Amino acid sequence: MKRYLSVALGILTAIGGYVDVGAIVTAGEAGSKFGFGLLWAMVLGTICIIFLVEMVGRMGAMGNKAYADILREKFGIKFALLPLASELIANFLLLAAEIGGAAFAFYLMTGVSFQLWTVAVALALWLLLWRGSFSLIENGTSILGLVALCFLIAAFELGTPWSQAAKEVVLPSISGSGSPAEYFNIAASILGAIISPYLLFFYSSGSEEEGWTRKMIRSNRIIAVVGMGFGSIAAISIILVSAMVLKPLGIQAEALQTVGLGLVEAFGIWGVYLFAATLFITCFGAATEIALALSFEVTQIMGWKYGEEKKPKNAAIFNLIFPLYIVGSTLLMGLSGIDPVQLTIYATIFTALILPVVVVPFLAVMNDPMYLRDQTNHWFANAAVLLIIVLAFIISITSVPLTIIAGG
Amino acid sequence: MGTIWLRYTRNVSEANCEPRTKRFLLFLLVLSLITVGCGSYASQAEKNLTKASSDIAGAAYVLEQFGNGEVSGPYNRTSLQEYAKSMQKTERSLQNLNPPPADEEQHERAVDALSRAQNLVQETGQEGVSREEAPELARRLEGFGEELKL
Repeated sequence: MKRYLSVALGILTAIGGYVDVGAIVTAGEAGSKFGFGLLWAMVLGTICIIFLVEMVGRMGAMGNKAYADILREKFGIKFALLPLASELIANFLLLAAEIGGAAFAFYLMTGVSFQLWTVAVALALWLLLWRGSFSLIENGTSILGLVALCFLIAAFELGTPWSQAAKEVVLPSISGSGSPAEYFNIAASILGAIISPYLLFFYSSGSEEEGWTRKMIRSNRIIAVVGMGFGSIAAISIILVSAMVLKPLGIQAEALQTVGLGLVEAFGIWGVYLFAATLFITCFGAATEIALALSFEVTQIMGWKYGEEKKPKNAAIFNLIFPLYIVGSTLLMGLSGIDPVQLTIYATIFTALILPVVVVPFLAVMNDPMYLRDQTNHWFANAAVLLIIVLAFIISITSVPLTIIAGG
Repeated sequence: MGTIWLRYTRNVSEANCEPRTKRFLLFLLVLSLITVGCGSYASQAEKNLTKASSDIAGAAYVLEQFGNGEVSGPYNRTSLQEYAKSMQKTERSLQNLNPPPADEEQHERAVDALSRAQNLVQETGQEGVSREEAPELARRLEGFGEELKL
């Protein structure tokens, strides 16, 4: 019974934790500019993240070691610094964008200065990470993140033509108010937003903190497939709602408040509150995971002491890294005047660009019997993940010059 | 096959591929330099006008919904302020473009319509508006949006 409950909790956590500022921004922009034409990118990203989450859980269950630890052990510190450096930059931008997203929710609801809210969100984030246990951080915000499913209800409420949407997943069209360059740009952003490499570091550290054993392999597989599969429904629904409401009005969702208008159309004034709640909870939840993942990555790769459950004096550097990153990201978001949406787009494209750097060594680990024993990857899983990663990289590397050509 | 290849990733990473990387980076740099500034007036103007029309339509929609009682006061004001900021940026981008002589008049009209729309949205965002007046302002904004399309 206890095992079933833990699987159910895992599934709910995966569903609730799926959406973040990257998914909200990219899905809103995709739907408002290209209708259902970019649903394929969301589906492809989801397939890839299902594979990756299943793999990282299997790795934790077999070796009870975190990925960054293994990265250093297998490839040496010099090699490990490359994925680490890429991740530090990508996560710094992403953390700033998530803090910005959470603060923007309060700004929308109160009209009080956005900058003040970024400081308040950063303080709340630090407090939760400092005082909260790993399971509270992992499960608490993710369960609340189920509020994002309001987009699915809105999609039903607005009468989405499901068969047409399904058809466009297989045979997508590029027609819309955006240019072809924007189409590929958004596709790269969606893939970068969904396949976030910080999840590898966060989940593997989580499985180590919770002491996973071989018994967890099956449960992990169910959680990865069902949880991530259903989680993507919330993000897909944002595309559907934006395509149904914003595209016909000629409104492009290039600002966070615009994405919320789809919910206003479906639920009236409640749509405003639901959107603000979704934005705050999902961004805050993702920010906790990113900040922790950063501390784990650095300390594990450098071979320093780490652990969310350890007292600060027993893992001093671990407990110093996330506050420093929170301060840096808050300064970037709050003081620089950067638009959170623009920052999110840059962060997600950059993430798509660095995917091979982080994921290819991970696949190498997943095929090493020294760490996985009889549970190494099937060739199909290797091929599927490699194909999607290479595709994401090609789309992102070509979308940048295409955007410049288009005058972007 | 994939498994074998992946096990030898370390050897690949250790191989000396520096000259190839340098050549690739040089290619990217040259490509970027060639492409910068390649956007024609027509494509840049179209991009900016689409963005401006979208912001105007967004602001008009928010005002309309505010008038119907389906958007809260703070949401209305902050949304309008954000749309005003975005419209100001687009207006600056449009002003920086150099239209060919044949398009000059149309360009001026578009900049003027956008400027008036931006002022209206900014004022409404800063000073607020009653629910009764909101639909009228939404219609005025829609009018500016139509002017951009001409």
